Amino acid sequence: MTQDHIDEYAGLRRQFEVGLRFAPTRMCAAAAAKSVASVLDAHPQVPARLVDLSHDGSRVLFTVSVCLGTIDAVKTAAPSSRRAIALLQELIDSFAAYDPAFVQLPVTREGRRASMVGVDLRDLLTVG
Amino acid sequence: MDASLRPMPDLTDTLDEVVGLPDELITSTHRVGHRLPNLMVRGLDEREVFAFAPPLVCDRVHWDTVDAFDAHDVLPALGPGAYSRQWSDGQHRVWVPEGQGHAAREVIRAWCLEHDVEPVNMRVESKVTFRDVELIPDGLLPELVAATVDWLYPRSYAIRRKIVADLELIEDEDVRSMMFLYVYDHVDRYDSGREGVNGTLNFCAFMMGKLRTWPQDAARTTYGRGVMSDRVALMRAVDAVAATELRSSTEADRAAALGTSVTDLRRREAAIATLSSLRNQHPLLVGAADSDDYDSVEVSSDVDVEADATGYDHSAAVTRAVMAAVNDPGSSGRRAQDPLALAAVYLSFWEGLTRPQVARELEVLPKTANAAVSRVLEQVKGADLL
Repeated sequence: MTQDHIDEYAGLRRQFEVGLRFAPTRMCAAAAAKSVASVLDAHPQVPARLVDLSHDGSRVLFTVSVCLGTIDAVKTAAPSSRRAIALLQELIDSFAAYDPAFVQLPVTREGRRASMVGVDLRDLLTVG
Repeated sequence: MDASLRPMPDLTDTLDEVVGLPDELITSTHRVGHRLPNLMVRGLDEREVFAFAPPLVCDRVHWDTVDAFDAHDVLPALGPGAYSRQWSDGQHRVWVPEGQGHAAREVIRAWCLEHDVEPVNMRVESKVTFRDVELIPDGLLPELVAATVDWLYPRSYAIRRKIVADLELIEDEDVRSMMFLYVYDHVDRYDSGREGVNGTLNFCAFMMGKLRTWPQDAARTTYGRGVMSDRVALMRAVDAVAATELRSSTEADRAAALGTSVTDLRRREAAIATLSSLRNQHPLLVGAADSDDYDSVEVSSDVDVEADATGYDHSAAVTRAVMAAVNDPGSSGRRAQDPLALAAVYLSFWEGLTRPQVARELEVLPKTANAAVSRVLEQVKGADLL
């Protein structure tokens, strides 16, 4: 990641997020979304959000971002980070039928494209 | 024209008076409105066009049949003075002189029985306006209807949106031709002689009034009268409570508005909701295939079924292996979870960063990041996934 990109976070407490994508078939997409949401609801102390929704062939793809906490919390394995890992494990175990897999977060993907072509992320998002 | 048909009074004088009225007027809902323009076709004013087919007062017999049928076939049995005209809804209408509607219905019923035609829902409406528009020469009528649609179409956005939203399979580009048919159907009942507070109606104003109920009528025809009437009544009740009491309506309010019990209200609301969800399927659930059928999964020929099945499975297996490496519930305390290793692996393999970039991102030494990644990779390689 370029120095320019890091500077955009100056003064902010940076959070580390990982993307977990579920790929149910379209027949069970609604049930999958509801049950994933209920698990997330049961862990209010772990920040998580829906970040991407699309489809590919017979699969409906939705990506949930789970926050591992601040960089300091990740480095020191703070309780907040360990709770996030426990949630990730529960999601992966409980919804194995929906092929949960780590994926790159869409916002980060845009940021990477912006840094590769040397433009500001906001410009890229406006154009895209 | 049959002598028993009573022509309405000559309108020319009345309409001339209208021209002299001011452009601004107060509508029946006490708002300031504007008089709509008279349309011109080939240099003729719409009044001159309609003068070819003066309005009559008739009784109308209206019915449907199970099989295809042309109502003109039954006209000889009804004698002179009976008219028929094809409407785009496919139902049959016959106009007879005023006062003869019920007798005509019996004649039509007997004729249908004799000719093995099955009539459905035959009813009589008395004293309706009718113009025999076939008397209008030289294709003037289609041109007048087209001019009316040209005027109405850009001024009926909300009505067009409702038609598209309410009726399945109707798209925006269909609405103009539907509107042409709707206007063409209603030409024969244009009552230019009826006097109101603001004088008489011209054709645009008459059709604007008819268009207001068009989406509702079309939805009733498509989905059935009961469900659509309930929906309209419920919406009115919700609006009334919101406007007068500034709160959302309760089930008791809505049940009272429909004059029914709460149990019956719930049943009716469930019926409306079912219909609504049938019409507004979520496109994601329909997926890329062109099928709207929920009961089957169709895969289009350009989908690589093997990759579709195994690609997601492999990604999921790698994810499980990584999680197994960074999360060991058997250990106690901080050793049980290793968020730093998960973050380093995620940045390396899913974000595509180099090791120095990973170290900078996580604000650790490169060797620390390297060690974290290596810890995980050893276990994942052991699972024979890489």
